[in-house]
Amino acid sequence: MNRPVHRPRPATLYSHVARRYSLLVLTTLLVAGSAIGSEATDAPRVLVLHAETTQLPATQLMDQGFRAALRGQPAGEPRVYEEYLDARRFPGLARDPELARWLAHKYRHDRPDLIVSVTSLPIDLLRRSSEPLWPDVPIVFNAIADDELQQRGRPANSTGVVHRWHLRETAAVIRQLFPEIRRIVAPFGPSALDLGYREVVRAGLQDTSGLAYEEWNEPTIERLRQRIQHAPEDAAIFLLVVSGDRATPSLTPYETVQDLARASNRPVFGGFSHHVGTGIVGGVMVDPFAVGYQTGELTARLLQGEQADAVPLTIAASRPVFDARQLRRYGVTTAALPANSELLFDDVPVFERYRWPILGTLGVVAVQAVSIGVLLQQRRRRLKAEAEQRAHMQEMAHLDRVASLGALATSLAHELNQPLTAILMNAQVAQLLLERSDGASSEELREALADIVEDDRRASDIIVGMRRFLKKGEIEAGPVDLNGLCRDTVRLVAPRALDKRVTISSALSTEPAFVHGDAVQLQQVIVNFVVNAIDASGVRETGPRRVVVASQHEGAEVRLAVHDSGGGVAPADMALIFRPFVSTKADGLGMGLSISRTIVEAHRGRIWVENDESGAVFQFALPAVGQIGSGTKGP
Amino acid sequence: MASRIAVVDDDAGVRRSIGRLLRAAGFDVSTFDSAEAFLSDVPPWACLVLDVQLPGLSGRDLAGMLAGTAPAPPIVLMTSHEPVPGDAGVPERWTCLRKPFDAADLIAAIQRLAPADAP
Repeated sequence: MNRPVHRPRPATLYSHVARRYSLLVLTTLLVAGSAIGSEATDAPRVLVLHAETTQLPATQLMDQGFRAALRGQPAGEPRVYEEYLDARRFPGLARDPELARWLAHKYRHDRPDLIVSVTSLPIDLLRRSSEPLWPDVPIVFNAIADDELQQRGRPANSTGVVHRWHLRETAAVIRQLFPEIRRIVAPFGPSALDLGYREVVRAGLQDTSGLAYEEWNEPTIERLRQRIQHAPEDAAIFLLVVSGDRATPSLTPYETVQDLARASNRPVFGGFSHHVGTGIVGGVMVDPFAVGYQTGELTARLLQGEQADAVPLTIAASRPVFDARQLRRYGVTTAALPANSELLFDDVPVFERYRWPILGTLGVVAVQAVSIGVLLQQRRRRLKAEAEQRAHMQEMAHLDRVASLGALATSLAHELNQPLTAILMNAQVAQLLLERSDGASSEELREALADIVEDDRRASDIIVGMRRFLKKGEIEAGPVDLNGLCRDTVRLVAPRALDKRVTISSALSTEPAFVHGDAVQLQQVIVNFVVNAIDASGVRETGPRRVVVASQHEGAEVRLAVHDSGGGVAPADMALIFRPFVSTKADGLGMGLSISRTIVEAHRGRIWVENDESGAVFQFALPAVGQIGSGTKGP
Repeated sequence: MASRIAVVDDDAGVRRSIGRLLRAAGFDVSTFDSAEAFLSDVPPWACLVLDVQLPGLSGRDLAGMLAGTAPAPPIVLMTSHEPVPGDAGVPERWTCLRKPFDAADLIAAIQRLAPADAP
């Protein structure tokens, strides 16, 4: 509780502090550390009397500046008391002796060592009432304008920050930045605060050289907003203070200015630096924080002992402040700004700084997104098309098999006739033998019946094979012995070969030629090859008519070749022959070889035709079983 | 002594059943699986039962060859197809049966073509 060394103070202050100190010492001794006077007892007391409420951002900024200036003072921080008189809502307050008495009562144990008067109202309250309060206490004032001060004169025992608006300078800046502007529009709402500021604005801007002055007084903020949204081309808006209206009394001027400035289609100027950022372009601004700081500095000087009257008045800090974003919005270059201007929000927006990288990235992302979408759609289409193609291929393959069987109908009839003939013969022999019933023929009878059974099976097998060949439906993949298919096929077409006087023979590999696939479809290919070969060889007038079905292992493949003696395929046809609807036969649909190619390729094989000395060699190669997936290369 | 009948068919089942039938009917029957095999055997033949569709030398070729020989045996041609007009070439010496045919028709045809040799 050591009292710091103070510089000499005004006598009244000094003696009071000393008195207070001794009282406290006594109290402390008596109460032995009780809570009474727990604050630093020797710190001077400063009472800040605000005419306004604490709600206004300007008031809060001023307080912050004030406290910032007092912080770290060598004399120690004073204890600051604050009273917000809200005088606008309580007319006559400044002359009310009851308020002064109430203050005297409230601070009877904490008599202020210094009064800060924000505006002249607290001065009037203290000094001009019938019973002056604390007349000996020095006053630091602010927010009193030049002209008012001149009218009333500097209060005794006071110093302060003289408020000064810079509306004319702002008007000059407007003309400088916006040569096309001919008038300044000043909007005001209905509140009493606005009416007070209207006088200030009118005084500052009316008769400004070269710019017409126009006031928009509206009963609601909404009406103001509508007018500002459609402000004339040649107008600038000046928003010093616009308060909330009846519907929105809680709006601070800051919020209202923000609302209106954002709505405006024309540049908006203002008078308070803390309004920069709400959407106004700027202006020559009063800075409430700076004014508070200036007030604090004066306060500190007096607390350190200087006589108030000896401390010269300070002019409120002001400077041109502009919002770089708004300048950009209206295409104004900073070169046109007054010297010593403060440019806020001059950060180049991220987008402008990285315009091309951002645009590029967005472009790439967009292109990628579109590509992905397109690819997904293509994939969907392709899968659908593939499914349709597969179904179509199966349908066509089936039709081709039907056509093949049609072509082989006589051959099949012959094939079936053999067992049927044998069965009929044997059955009739059996009847004959039974009629005789001489006993000696029982052996013959048994053999006949056994042959009937066997021939019936043979006929049944033919029908089963035919039905299987005509079967519709999905591919049933499994190991298939091509040699077995060749034997079945040769048997199937043998009657046709006989009819056409064509010799058909096989030259199959000794070991089974297993591949992975669908037996019916692979047999279909062989049938197509062999029937074509028989037909091609059958038209030959001279020389041998011969068809050879050959299979062999070649590396990882099984190769099947059907040789004919039809003279070969014309070179021009070789490339076309596996295409649909290409036929050299009068009765052919032309689908057989096309279907065959589809089937072989679906089995991961390849199909082609060559010519040898006697005719064409149609062949296909498929991966031998165990080699599936190792990949085969085209011829 | 029963008449010698030759049966030429490449289908074993058919060959065996016809052979069995004709033997049951009392004929002396030899069966061959091809025209070439038949030619390697010794004539004369009371009648030849011949399949048209044979590998190698066809039944029709063989019939044509035999027509020029003496004595030319009568021939019963068997076919799975509609009989072609030429198959009926010399009606008194040839006949044509379409498979499958009735046993009685075959026996009747043989008896008609080779009456002297009929059992």
